[in-house]
Amino acid sequence: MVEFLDTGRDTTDLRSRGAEMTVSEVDAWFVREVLPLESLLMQYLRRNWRDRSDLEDIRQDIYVRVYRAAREERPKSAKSFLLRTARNYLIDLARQSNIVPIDAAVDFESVAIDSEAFAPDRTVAARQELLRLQDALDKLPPRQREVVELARIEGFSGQEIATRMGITRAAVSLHLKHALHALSDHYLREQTDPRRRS
Amino acid sequence: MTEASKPSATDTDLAAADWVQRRNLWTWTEMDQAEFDAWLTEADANHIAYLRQTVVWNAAGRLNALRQQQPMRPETATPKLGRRALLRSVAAAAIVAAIGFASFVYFSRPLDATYVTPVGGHKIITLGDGTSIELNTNSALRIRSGAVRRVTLLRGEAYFDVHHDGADPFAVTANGYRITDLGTKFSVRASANAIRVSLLEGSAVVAPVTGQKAHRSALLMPGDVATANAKSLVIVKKPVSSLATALGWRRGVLIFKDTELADAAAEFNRYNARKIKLEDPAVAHLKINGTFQAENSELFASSIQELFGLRIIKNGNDTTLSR
Repeated sequence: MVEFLDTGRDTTDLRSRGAEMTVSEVDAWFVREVLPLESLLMQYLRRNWRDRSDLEDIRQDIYVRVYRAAREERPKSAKSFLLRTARNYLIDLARQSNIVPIDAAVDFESVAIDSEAFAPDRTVAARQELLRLQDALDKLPPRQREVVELARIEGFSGQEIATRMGITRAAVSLHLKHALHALSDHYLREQTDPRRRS
Repeated sequence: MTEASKPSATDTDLAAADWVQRRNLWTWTEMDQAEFDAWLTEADANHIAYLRQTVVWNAAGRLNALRQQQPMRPETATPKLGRRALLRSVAAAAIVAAIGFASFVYFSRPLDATYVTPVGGHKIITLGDGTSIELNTNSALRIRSGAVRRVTLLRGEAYFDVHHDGADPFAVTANGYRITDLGTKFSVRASANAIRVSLLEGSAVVAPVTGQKAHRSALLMPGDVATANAKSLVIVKKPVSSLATALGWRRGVLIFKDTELADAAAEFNRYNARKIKLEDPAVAHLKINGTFQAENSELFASSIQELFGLRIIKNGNDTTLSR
């Protein structure tokens, strides 16, 4: 018989214990200020870089640059710093690879982005965001969707999911890995059609 | 893109997603931690990818909130003007909100807990928000770290006195159903393949965890007792006082009012290793009234014996009552 704490194991308790761990300020800043701008960044990259197959790697490199810079000194504005870093990165990249046609770099100065439209308004409910995540979940292959639901909505452990679905532990892991990866791209980026399917 | 050996961003993201699920769903050993630490510090890109996937993992844990009754879709309420721009800003803002709430758990070990009571046991769990959960005999309840207001009743029975928070609804999952609190006191009992929800105060929504099965969803009001299984959901209205009677276990007592002996014996058997058996149908249908200590089935059996002039046969862990 497994016995745990009787009482007092509360929300604040869990939180403070987490905060004592190594959540660095840079991590918190990156998650809070930079990741929500991913749809903006991707939009910028799509406009200014022709080869779509490079975009994920470019995004990653830009994130690393931003993260490292923030470790030295936190930028005043995450958005302008992110976009400036992206621009410099694309210019460097265009210079390095002569194959890039010059017109791909022309638009760098005219970043046609309505900054107000992206200004985070923290008073807005998280509901719309969850609806988008739900949409993304609905689009996953059935088994991937099922493992996510069992893990994150029903709260089952990996072993329990394997038993319930009659699949191996490795298969549960694999489904989840791909599901999470697919969800992250939907969740952190603007959808072409934000309307919810009904 | 400069170093030939560098993994692609997609590979890094997939590796990060794998770490997130490994850390959160499976047994986690010192060796796993060492391997994880090595991977995490190998490249800043790994570290960042892990942060990114964790954000999604945390957000998925909040999907529960959508499983309540769906109000009017936000689009319908929004004027046409600048709707698309608004949606974009809403999206960005909501990520901020979600992240702000969850960011403390990134690199901490998951702190999940399963609370278990033995036969005859009773346990009170108090959450930081004032919500209290009482576990009845032979029950198990799981609370996941980072989602303490989404609990799973694995077996048995629990009584919930919920501190209401409209922004973060409390939800209990059991046997494929979810009970979402709308400001409530209620009890949930999970049996082999069904649940029974008794609502004392406030209201709550009962619905299947997956799928949109309207005929298996219901809004419960005080006095409602919902019994639900994989095929159906039935609601019976009872006086609230009789529901309180059924919660006598919270004080360690079982209260019977015109209860058939068979049902009373079944109740006692939930709380005691020594089981009461009734082999004679005529005995099973006898009706009893009274308040008994839940853990004292011996006293109960001898009282019944005297009351109805029955015979008692003890055999191993069984106490058989007959004429």
